[in-house]
Amino acid sequence: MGKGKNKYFDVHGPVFWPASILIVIFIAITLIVGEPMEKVFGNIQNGISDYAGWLLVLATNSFLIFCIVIGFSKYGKIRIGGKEAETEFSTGAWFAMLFSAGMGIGIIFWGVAEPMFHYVQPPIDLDAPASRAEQAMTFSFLHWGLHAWGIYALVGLSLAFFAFSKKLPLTIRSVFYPLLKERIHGWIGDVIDVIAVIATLFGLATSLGFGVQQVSSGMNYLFNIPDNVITQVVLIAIITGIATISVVLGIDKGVKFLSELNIRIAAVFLAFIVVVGPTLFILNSYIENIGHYFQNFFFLSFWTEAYQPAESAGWQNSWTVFYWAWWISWSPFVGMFIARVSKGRTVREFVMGVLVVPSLLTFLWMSAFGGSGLWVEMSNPGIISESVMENVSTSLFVLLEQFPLAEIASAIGVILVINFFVTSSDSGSLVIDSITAGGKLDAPVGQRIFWAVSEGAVAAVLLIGGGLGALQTAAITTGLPFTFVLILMMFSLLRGLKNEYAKSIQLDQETDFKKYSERIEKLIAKRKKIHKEQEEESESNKN
Amino acid sequence: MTQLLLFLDLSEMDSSVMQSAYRITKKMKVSKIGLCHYVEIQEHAYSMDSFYNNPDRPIKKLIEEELIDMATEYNLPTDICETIVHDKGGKEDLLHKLNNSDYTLFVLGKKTVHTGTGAFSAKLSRMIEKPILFVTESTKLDLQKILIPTEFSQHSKKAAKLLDEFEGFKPEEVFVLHVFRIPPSYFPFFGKKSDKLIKEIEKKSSKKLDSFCEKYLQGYDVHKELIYSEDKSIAKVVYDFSKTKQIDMVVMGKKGKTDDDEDLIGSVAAKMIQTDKDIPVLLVE
Repeated sequence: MGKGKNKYFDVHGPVFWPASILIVIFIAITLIVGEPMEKVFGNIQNGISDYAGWLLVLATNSFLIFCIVIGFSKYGKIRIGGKEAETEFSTGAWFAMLFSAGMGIGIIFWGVAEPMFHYVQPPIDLDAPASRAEQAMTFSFLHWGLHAWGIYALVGLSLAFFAFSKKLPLTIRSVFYPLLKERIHGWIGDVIDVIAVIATLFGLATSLGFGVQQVSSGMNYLFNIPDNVITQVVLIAIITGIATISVVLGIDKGVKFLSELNIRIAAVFLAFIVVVGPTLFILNSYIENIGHYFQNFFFLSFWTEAYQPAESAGWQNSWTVFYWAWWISWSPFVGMFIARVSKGRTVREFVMGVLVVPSLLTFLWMSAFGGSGLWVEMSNPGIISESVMENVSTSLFVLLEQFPLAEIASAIGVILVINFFVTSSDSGSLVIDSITAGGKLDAPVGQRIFWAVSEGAVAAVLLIGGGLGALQTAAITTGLPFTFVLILMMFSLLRGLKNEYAKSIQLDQETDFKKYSERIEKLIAKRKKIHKEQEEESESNKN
Repeated sequence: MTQLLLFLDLSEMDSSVMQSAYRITKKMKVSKIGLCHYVEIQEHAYSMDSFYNNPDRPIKKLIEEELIDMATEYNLPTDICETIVHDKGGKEDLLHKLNNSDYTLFVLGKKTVHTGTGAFSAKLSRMIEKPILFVTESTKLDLQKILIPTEFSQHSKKAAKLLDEFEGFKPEEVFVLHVFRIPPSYFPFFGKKSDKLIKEIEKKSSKKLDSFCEKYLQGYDVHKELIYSEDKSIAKVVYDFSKTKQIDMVVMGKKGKTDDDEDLIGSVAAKMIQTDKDIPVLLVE
């Protein structure tokens, strides 16, 4: 196992083994040390937010601006995978996969809860409930909108470009080819990939762990199923089982199918809330929220609480900066997945597709669910906010209770949550799989099962033994080092695109067709003559 | 062992390429020779056979026969020759295949007299990521006097190291030339180009040149040259030098220190392979 090609395992040893061993060691330490571990990482995370918050804010803005500039520059016409490359997936399926991998699960939980938090505890003091609601939506848009997708777009575009256009393996290390050249195949590359694997696995496993706690409390709320570790472990087993089947089936049949199914269920769910909820309010507020978001775009994007009095500062650390670190720590995973499904798109299509469409969908979702929550809350203060503050995971179900057909809607909600978990888990396994197989796109089945199951196992172990919080915080703390990786990525991608553009200009130049044609005609005539002579010669020899 | 790849466009230039290849086989150990022709019709989405109305024999086959005949004519060992007639997939596909092939030295003709030929391969050459030798019509590739122009960058180090990589290859003399100038930013501080400043830079450059030769060119008969260029372009200085010293081949890096990523090839290298320079140039990636 582990060496050479094998039917079930085909790993790149220098990444697979260190990553696997480190994961085991990390988990063992977390289980043994227990709570102090969480404190240590919590302190690191606080330190990052306090001292490097400004850097994260600046970097996130730079990534977004970079992507937009690249997309609309002359490099926008470059097609990922070469001029003749064709897309692997229809545009609809592409959006479905982008959205499912990138946000899916988070938005279902936070869609109702986040605007409610900002409404109840406004980041910038406002008195009028209407202004507070508006501000709450705008901040939610900020956290889930263009900036998050800008991070993903940068990583995704870099990876897609170097994997498909430059024909390098689809792993994080390939992005550094213009800077490191052949050294990416050495130990530096291995280290980059090992960090990416660990960050991805812990990110996924801890979200899975926390996620099932939330699903379980939701199910308890709905169906009175006991909310305990056993239920949660069973849920992990179910989710991991479906995810395993999905990754075994591969990206075409498994992941794509589930993502599309997800989007359909989500669309039905969204349509449902728009119809039974405050329809006109949702539509009106969607338009107004977008306007408000763009109007305050620069102010909010660059806001760092610099003039906030010290005693009321700190809001940004626990929200905006947290989100930026969170998206960045997820970016190797989501970026690789986006890259994997984006062959054949032009850079402009890619940037527009990854930034705009998912953002608009997210905004619609936020306006429908979060907006309805605010609408209920504004007329009946406390009705939703109290339960949200108490338990975030029930917020969606509390909201649905306010409208007709609550049971059916809640059941769809649970299915949607589970399905979104499956799509995060299966796409995550494919990504880790690809990195540990040295960048191969279709690693053997055994290996896919291994990573899908590992993810579930890590989540279950942490759930039973404690330490989910510690590891999740640890995963987020990788956000800061990855920020530097992403900054380098901008330079690297720019160099790669410049070079590719120059090549495409060269290749486009017409060759002198007429002169070439004459040469070929001359050659045909010459060869015909030779053949004729040869035939005549062999004829005369026969005679 | 060197593995040669010859770009042949079925024009008059091919004879220079073939002659050079023959000379290379005499000077180096060559284990394989690729005879590569890029079928330009494919860019117009025609099928070659239908275009020329030639149903009895595929044209690809005719071209292959022609290439092998040429190799025989120029006394190349045909037992190690293989033909690569690329008629599908476009330039990008050919480039990708060649860059990932095991060929170690590419040879192509650059026109100085014959117009309308060799232009395509010169374009392709910019995207080849292997050492690539440009020969002209009048090339007599003796490979006795080699010139390495250097500005001590990574690329020129690679150029120097490349000599060792060709098995059996031992030039009689290696000239190493460094052309120096006074960087423009010096002027406001130092006044006009003072002799003292020139001397100072010359001294520094001389030291660098010594250590460059010592490090990368041990075992060769090396001649070191420093030239101060007041306003002549570096390429011109290198070219004039190579003509006066009767250099057989210039070996240099594809890019220099200051070249941007958007230049596939550095400015000096680009000038050296321009059609007006009648000298064989080996560019090193």
